[in-house]
Amino acid sequence: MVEEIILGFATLFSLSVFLYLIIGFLVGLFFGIVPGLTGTLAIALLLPITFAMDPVNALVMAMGIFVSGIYSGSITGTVVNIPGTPGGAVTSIEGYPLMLKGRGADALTHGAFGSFIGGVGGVLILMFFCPIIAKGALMLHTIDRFSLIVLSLVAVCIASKGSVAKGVIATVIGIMLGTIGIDSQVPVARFNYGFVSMTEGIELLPAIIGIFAISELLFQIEIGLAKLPTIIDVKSIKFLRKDFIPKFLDIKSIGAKLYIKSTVIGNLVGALPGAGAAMAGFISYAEAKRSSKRPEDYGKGTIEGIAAVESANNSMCAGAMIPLLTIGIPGDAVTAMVLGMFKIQGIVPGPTLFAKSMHLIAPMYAALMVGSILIPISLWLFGPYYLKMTQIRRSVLYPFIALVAMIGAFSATFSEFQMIVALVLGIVTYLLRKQGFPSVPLLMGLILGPMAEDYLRRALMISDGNFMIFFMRPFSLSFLILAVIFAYFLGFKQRKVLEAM
Amino acid sequence: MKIKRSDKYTILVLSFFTLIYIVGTIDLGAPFNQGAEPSLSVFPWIIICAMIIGIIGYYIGSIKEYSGEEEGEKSVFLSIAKPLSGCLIIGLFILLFFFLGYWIASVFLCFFTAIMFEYESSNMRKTVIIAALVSVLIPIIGYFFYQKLFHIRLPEGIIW
Repeated sequence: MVEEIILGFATLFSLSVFLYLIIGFLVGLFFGIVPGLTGTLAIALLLPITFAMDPVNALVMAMGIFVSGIYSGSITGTVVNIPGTPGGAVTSIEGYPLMLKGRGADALTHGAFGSFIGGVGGVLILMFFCPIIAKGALMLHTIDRFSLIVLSLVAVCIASKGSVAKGVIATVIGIMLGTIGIDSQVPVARFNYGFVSMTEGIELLPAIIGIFAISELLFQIEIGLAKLPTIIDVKSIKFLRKDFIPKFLDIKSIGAKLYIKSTVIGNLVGALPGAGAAMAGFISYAEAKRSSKRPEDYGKGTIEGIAAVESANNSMCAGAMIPLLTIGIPGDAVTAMVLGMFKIQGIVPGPTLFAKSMHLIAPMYAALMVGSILIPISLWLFGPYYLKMTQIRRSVLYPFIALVAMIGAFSATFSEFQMIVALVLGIVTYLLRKQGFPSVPLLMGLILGPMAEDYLRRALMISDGNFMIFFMRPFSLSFLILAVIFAYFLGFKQRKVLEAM
Repeated sequence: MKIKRSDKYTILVLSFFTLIYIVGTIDLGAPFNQGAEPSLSVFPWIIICAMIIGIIGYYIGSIKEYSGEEEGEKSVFLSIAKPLSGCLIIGLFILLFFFLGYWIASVFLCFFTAIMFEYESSNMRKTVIIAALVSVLIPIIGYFFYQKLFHIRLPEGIIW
């Protein structure tokens, strides 16, 4: 195992693979910094070209985008109070007040340092626990796997933003879309309503492009504006490279305990399907505030708050990989796309992955770790230009995004129908988002739905149609009980607590 | 038991599509074949139940959230007009892409998408110049990226 990981690092440091990491990192950084763009969108747009790429290069590039996209989403939240990602919104609670106090460089420095610690710590947890969980996953029967997917779907519904009902509806729409086309067990077309093209079903890549790229494009078109207005005068602020070196006294005042605690929280939340960076950051922030000696300073600009959120955010990246790599169930939108990448490359995620494809997994680990190390370096190199990047002309950016999205939908399938699917899903997602429905459960439903159906029907064949079989196996019963507990505590209790706050 | 107009339309649309899905599911036959073997429709029936629960939950939530305030019809129209134009541009792009090929379709897409972001600018000449530049440069970059770098063959169109 250790040897394979060392080999993974060696693979990563070969020139071509490392170049892909750098490209992915820079793309993620750019997409995270520019308001309206996200790392998730970057992966969605680049996913179709991975058809033509070596699997190691594709996965390493995706990890680069993931790590830097999550980190850089908080930069605009800090400097201009327009968070690039939902996770970045939590950072901006502390980052922007620091910026207004003239300590923007400090906020960015501790954001980057926290991301570095969280990223590296998260990968270490991933390396240690993945093989253990994968061995455990070998004991799971078809019946248990169905219940595990039910648990994941419940978690996706309740962890998404908005009400539980909206999460349920978005997830079910995704599952319904996944049932269109030829059935996986019997060669019969379903839900095509007489349209021959619909027999193709809905391919994952055009769906991803529709849900993330086209819906976002429509949102940005609605906003219009060639440039986003900012409250502060961006031209009057200048960052110097020497400001981006963290001070030892500041790190000492934050304390190792806070970094470690936030890293563990981020990793655990990341492993929960559908939770994502925003929830990881929020829980970690709330815990940092609760355990702080000066909780009254929170919200007015504290580097502790930034360190807690950013450590959790980037530790989440590694955590989200755990369910994907060990059981084959994606933890969030990005890992759902990595699953798509696995499918493109013919890789089957799950317990056998560690026995058969460690040569692919080890460079991924290495990319997540090295990507995290690149974060403070990137701040030092590009930090002085971050403010300029937030002012990029949207009338140049979005035509590019539109073209890449549509050509991406075409190149994934070479099908006119799938391009139309991408557009229709983009419109549907846009309308749902306008009504406050979350978009991630839509994708998760589309991915997990067919898996759930497959396991359900196989389990019912074994039990002669008896649904009680799901309550008879200990693992299956445990997952279903966990689903109920999750629904109660995370869905209803937590929402009441949040409302009270 | 009042709810916001937008919530009412959302529930109606969701119910309509659920009904269409139910029709499709009925076409698949009974959920269990003879001998209690699960059929193609067993899973769709389960998700239909989940959808109905979701819609009822959404309706109850809408009643609780209703505060008596409604959005003005004019603002709703204006907020829809821009994204609707965006949908039309992308829809026409797909049509042009297969009939007239990559170049014409991508120039069209980039030009009008750029206009969508620039049209509020007071300087019309500047708007057109930026849109024209964008619609020339981006398709060229796209062509080299996809066709030359990743060898993805882009359609030349059926006209030539």
